[in-house]
Amino acid sequence: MRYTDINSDYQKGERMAELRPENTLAQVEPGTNVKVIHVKGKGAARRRIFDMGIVPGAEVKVIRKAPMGDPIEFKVKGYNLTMRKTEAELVVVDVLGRGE
Amino acid sequence: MAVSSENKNKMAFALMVGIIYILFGIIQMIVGLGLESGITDALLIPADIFGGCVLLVIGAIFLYGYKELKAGTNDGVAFIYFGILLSLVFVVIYLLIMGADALCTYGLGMEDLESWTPLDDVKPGLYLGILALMGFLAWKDKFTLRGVSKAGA
Amino acid sequence: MKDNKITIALTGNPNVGKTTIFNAITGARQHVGNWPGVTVEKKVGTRKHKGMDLEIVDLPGTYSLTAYSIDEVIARDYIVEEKPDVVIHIVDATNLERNLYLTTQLMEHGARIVIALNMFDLSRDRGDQIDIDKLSNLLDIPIVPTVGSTGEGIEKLLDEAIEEVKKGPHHHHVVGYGKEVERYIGELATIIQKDERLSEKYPPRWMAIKLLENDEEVLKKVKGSKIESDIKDKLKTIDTDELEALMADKRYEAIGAILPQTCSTCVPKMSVSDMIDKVVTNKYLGIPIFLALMWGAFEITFTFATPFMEIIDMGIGWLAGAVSGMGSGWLPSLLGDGIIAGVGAVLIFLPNILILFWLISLLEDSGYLARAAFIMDKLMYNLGLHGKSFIPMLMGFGCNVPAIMATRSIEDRKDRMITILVNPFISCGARLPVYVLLAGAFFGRAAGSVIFSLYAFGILVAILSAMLFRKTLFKGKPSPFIMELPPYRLPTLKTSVIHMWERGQMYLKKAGTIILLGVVFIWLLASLPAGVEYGSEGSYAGVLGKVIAPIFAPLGFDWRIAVALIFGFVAKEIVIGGLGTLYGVGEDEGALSDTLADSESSGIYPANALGLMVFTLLYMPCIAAVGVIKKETGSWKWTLFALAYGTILAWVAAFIIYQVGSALGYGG
Repeated sequence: MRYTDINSDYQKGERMAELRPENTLAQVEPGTNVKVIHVKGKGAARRRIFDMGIVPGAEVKVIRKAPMGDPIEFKVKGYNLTMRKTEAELVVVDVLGRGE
Repeated sequence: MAVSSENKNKMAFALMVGIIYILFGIIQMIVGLGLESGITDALLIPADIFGGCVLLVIGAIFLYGYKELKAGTNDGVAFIYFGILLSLVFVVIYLLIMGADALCTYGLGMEDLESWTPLDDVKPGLYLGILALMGFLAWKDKFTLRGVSKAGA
Repeated sequence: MKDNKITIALTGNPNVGKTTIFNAITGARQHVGNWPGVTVEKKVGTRKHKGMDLEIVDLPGTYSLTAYSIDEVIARDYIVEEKPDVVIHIVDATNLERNLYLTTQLMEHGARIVIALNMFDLSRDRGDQIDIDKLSNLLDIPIVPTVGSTGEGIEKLLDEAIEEVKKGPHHHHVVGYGKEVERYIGELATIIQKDERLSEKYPPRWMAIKLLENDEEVLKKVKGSKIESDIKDKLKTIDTDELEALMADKRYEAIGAILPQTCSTCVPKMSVSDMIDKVVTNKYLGIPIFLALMWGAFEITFTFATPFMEIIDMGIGWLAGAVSGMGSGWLPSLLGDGIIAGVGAVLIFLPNILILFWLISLLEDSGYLARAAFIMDKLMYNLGLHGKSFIPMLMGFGCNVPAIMATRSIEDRKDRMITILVNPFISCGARLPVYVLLAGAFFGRAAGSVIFSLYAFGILVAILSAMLFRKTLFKGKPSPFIMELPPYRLPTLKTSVIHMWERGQMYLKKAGTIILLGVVFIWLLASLPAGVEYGSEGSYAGVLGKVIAPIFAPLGFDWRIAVALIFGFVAKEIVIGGLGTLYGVGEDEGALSDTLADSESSGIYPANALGLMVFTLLYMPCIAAVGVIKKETGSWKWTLFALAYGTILAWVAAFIIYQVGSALGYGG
């Protein structure tokens, strides 16, 4: 289970990206690496997301969900960041694949 | 995935300690609900539901570590170390409480604690800690907090 | 710099060891106050170094200098408006990329900067190779490696800071934002320069950048100036939403251009932190582990504190005894029943507060508190609160006073106000003796269930009130949850003890004065007019009890209970003592229980006994809690609101219980 074929996952990710043009950080499963495309919304919360390093082009790894399913933990710019689903939904991403 | 002999030792340890903690946790909760007996008195199990829950949690961490190692995931080791750590944290807590009660009784002569003896504060959370201590001594070089610095933020 | 006096501001991300550096520089020469108008802590310390008097101001920890939170506004207003001689920017050597983001923003402020590359030992030990000279050259900022916990590098840091001040004005390298944005910045800066008042106070480039970022605080500064309309017209032609992303990106890009040249191995790897997180945020075990740790902290706080509380109690008792030896009359009574009892009521909680805040400091500095918020956020969010509200709520079961003080970790004002206002409904330890006595006297074998239900009822009221406040007084969603989970660190004794001591002092000083006033007031009520027995029918307290008795009549409370409730304001367990006095049985609780249980003569039946317990649970918080509510909300209005809301709620609940109970035949 843990070592599924990375390639097929990658293709699945691509297909998903095609089917659903807006793949957000909130939808991505833990263990997935993604690349930020852009951040929706406006105002202070969006600026905060940028400040924390979630900028277009940044690579983010989804680490885990909290025990109750929300918030979500990410690794970005070498540190661990957590956001609620509501905030993660603003971040549109491209799925890169799974793994370390 | 082949399990190393080092991990085999840890699995045996985790399984044994985990079951013991869970067992004592359940008994302590039952005693907490008012079902005492000579045996539970002899084992110094207090009527303490929450304390029983803590034992249960510690036991569950060990068993989870066992389960992970059995499935071939090396992360299991982290659970075992953390289980050891948490048991020792509670040993320290219970020792401090014992110290406080001793101070109340012998130092201050508080009325409610006139008949207190140190044995009153000996409970599974304290003496089962010896098992955790054995684990700690066996693997103590693994507890160097490499990569964990002094804090202050 | 005036007369060898230098002002140094400390900035940095949260969790980079800023407090440790501050403590290492200033030692005990520091004091804690508030920033004007807000309840954000302001720490100022002094230090003599090389013949210079240094004043060190510890700014709130921030990731950025946008107007996201009050902390950020304070930090940047201080740098822009107070213009410290030099800013020491503390950077976590193990996480350069995100930390340098703040550096790029500081550079735009035009301040003189010295970077303290903190936790350098850690980065060295893990094999990072940071080319400090090159990094310093590229940024054009002096960099000093430091280790806050051992004090390594602190002297050199201060040397550099003084050196930097002596150099005089200085223009930093700045991030280039690309052709299009730079053109906008240039145009806006030109407009800003037309207003001398503004451009003298704020660097025009900085202001232009903030305007492009749609920064509300900076927009406010422009408001009313003669260039307001010009700026507004200009901004209308620009799609600022688009620019925000671009500008943040450019800043990270600038860092990305520098880092690879200066640090070859700064790639984070799987660490001990990740291993610990695997366990403590585990899907199944995360919450049980959290609850177990909280229970442990609770046990320590309230059990370990007992002997120390006993010592204080004995000291107070001895003093009171000495005073009563002075004979009778108003002075010994004021000293004994008023002042000493009042000071005692303040001091008695001190062991609890010290231990609790020491533990919280350990949890916070280790990094676990951020995980606790992560784990509990979903639940709290559904109740209209924030993940960080959970710990204060839980602590309320011990004592509401430190619980309310612990809300300081919640940044958002609304989140924090709601957490403070509902906290008194969490049944604290002092209310338990009242429950035990009354439930024991009137409910016999069901006493345990009654007491448990009271705790549950308190939680329910807290939850419903939180939801109500969120829908009415503090409208809007809980603040966004975008937070760092910092790496685990070993807490240092020095930092946690200093933190504990600060909280203890704050409690004694600020809450203490209000508590003392309240206690003296109650004493006056109970002992005037001159010559009456303390708290008896003839005293003003007794008279007042009789006057307000009609208000309590629908609840089935007579004047004696009314007086006991007034006494309960000092501390809720005093309700018992008050009843003892008024029913003429003194301090013998067994006799009091028997007397009360005799419904015919006491006038208390199960229905009003339950009503009295609920009333004790909900009505105005004790004086100590009121003192900290005032201190933490910074507002008498909200303090009075908390008093009134709780008391009205208590009345309504007790009324319903008594009336329904009576209708069912439990009210005599």
